[in-house]
Amino acid sequence: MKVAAPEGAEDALGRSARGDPAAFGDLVREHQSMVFSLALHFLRDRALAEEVAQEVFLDLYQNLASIQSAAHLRFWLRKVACHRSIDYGRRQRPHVSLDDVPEPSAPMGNDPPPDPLLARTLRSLVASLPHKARMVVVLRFQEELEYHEIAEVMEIPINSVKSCLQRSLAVLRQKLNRCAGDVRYEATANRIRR
Amino acid sequence: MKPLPIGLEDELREALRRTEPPPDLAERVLARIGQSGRVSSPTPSELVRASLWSRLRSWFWRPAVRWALATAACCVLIAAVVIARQRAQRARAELAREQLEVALQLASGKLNRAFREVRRVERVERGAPVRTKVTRRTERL
Repeated sequence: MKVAAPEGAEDALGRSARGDPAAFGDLVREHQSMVFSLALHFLRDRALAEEVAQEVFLDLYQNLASIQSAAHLRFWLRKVACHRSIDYGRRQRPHVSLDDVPEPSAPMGNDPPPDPLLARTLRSLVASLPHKARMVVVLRFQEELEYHEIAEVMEIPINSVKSCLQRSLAVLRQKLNRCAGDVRYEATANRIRR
Repeated sequence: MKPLPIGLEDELREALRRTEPPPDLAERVLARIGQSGRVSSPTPSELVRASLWSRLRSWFWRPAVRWALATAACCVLIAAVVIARQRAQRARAELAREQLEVALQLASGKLNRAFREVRRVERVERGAPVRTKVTRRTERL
């Protein structure tokens, strides 16, 4: 989500750096959705995602002096959330609790309502990807980052991002097609092929 | 093969839409900060130190810098291997030279002895008195 930083963000950042807890609280509230969602979509565990989000913000508090602007703050939070999630993902057992993941909030505007079954299937398929590929997909489709931005956040070459994303999408398509062969996912497949 | 899903990317965007965290996340973060006793603002020297350190760290972790360091490390490694090989070659050459010197000394001694023997045989054939060690000694006396 490339939202321009509000004018107050720089001010809140400055006040936080000077040790104002209220301003820091505002910063947390402003960015908590991004950090929490990154961790949640990567780990698929609400409690772990919350733990990661808390640690990221604690880390932020200790490194406030090095944050130069609101844009830098967003980049920093994405980067730290991304690497922390990958660390937690490596430590985590392969068990994935699908029921823990809440459905996404309803979209704004006149778009058709999302298919909860399809969304859940896609999230579980994304969770089955390897760590790096999973994070690339989450950064691309949750945060809608460009390739070079993903490369900067994940500290990998841009060509790796491109190939990783292409491979992941191919795998997801393949798995989704396989799912679509199942009677249970027939409606899902019809919706996708529309 | 079945047709590929066309709207996969849109569906992924929908599935990976941002989710709201628990409403008290910020309060819990602030509480943890309070517990860890880091509510006080950092001192100016701490700020400068942190800033320098973070700048240095971010500079060090830039991909270009990392590639340059890796290349430099490779160059150093290759240079070390080349130098070690040259030294080993030089040591082998020194050893060979010493062995050659010893061999030449031995060959020289053998040649001298052979030369003396040839001269002695020639004298015998010409009828000249053979000068042995004993005769040389008596002559000196």
